[in-house]
Amino acid sequence: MRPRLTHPLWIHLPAVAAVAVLFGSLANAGPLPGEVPIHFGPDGQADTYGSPMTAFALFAGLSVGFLLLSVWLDELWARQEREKTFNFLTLLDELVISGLAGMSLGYLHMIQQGKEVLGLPAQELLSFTIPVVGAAVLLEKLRPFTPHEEPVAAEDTSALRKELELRMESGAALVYWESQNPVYVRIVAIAVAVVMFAGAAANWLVEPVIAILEVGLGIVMGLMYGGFRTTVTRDEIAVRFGMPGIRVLKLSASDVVSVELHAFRPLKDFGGYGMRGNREMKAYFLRGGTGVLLSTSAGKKCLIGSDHPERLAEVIRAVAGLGSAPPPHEQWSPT
Amino acid sequence: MLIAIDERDTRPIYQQIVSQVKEQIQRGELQQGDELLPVRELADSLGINLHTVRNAYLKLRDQGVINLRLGRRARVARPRRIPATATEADMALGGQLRELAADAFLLGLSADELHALLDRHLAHGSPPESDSKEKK
Repeated sequence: MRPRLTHPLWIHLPAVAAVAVLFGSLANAGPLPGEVPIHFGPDGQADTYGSPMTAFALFAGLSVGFLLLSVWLDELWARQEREKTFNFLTLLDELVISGLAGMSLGYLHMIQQGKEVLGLPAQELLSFTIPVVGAAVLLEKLRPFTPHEEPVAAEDTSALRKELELRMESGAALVYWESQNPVYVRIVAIAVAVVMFAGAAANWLVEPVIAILEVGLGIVMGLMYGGFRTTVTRDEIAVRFGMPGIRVLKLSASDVVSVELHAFRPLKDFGGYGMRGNREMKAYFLRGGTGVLLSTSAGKKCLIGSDHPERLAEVIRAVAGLGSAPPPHEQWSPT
Repeated sequence: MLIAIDERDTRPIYQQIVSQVKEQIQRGELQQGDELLPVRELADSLGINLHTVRNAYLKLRDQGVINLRLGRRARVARPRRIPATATEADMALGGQLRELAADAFLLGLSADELHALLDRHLAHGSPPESDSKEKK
């Protein structure tokens, strides 16, 4: 079955219209020279020549890429929405595509006039971006709110609670862990690392400093492979990141004064995924919209993203000596 | 997942780890592809020797419970799709079952009571210490 989108696709129409207008202009432009400048140096002077279609093919490819990225981001936003809120991310594709379309139209005019110096086509840029972005803002305001209910089944933690009681009473050494290592993080980590290493190999003899930076960045990105791992022992709660398990959060169990289940909206509340923060708390998550919010005696608040928040909260309550969980309806803190 | 090492448990530490991993797979708390903690991290967290954890992981790998490859995290393996034949089951479990039957006899349990106990554990997975404490 085809997955149903929560957000209406018509909010992407301004970006599609920008692409259509540019290709309409191209179709009506008449015959173009067989060889035109396709690359320009830092001073704007042409340094490479080729087919005039090269730049327009690049524009088409980038437009499709940004359009798909925007559909994905807007869908994420819509699924996390609990009431209608203005999605500023929806302007991404319109801003980028109308900017590219303006530049491409300026380039078309340049090659029609036989010029070989690329300047900033301010008139073409404004003629695209103002109506396209304006329409996008209007459509985003008109976008209806569609409730998207994820099936949330509260986990039964009674067996775990019983096990923890016995373990704590017996003085056993214990460790609980869970990880968030989604596929997209692994793909991004490997893809960026491969691109960086390939770039370093190409630059090694020409630009050794850039090559070394690329190798460094490639190693850092490669180490991201592994995601977040949360461990809870009798003494501490820790969050580690990446392949080598770099510790990004360490709390003493005795410092934790409250443990709450917390539902959040990654894009709206934190602007994305990863190690995040806002005025109220620091957060560590790579997927989902549920986690465990810990408050310490020093007034610090940390949100640990979790696929099993009830289980994680149960274990932390046990090691922090905070007793058993309140009734399920009282556990989730409001956002 | 939760691993606990109880000093009062008479089994070797590596065996406690092996048993708990298997029980959590049986209860569905650990599923195919789930990561186990790196050897060093698990050893540090539990305050036990590195080689004890490595030994447990090797046992689990030999039994086809986890995948363990150099440079990669230990992950829960795909459960076997074709059940073991009677001969394979007897080779793998016969010794433990004979010991279990003998222990049940020494505890004064009848065959029916042993069956009922087994059924209960098969249905729910085993709660960790409660039953052994009751026996003691």
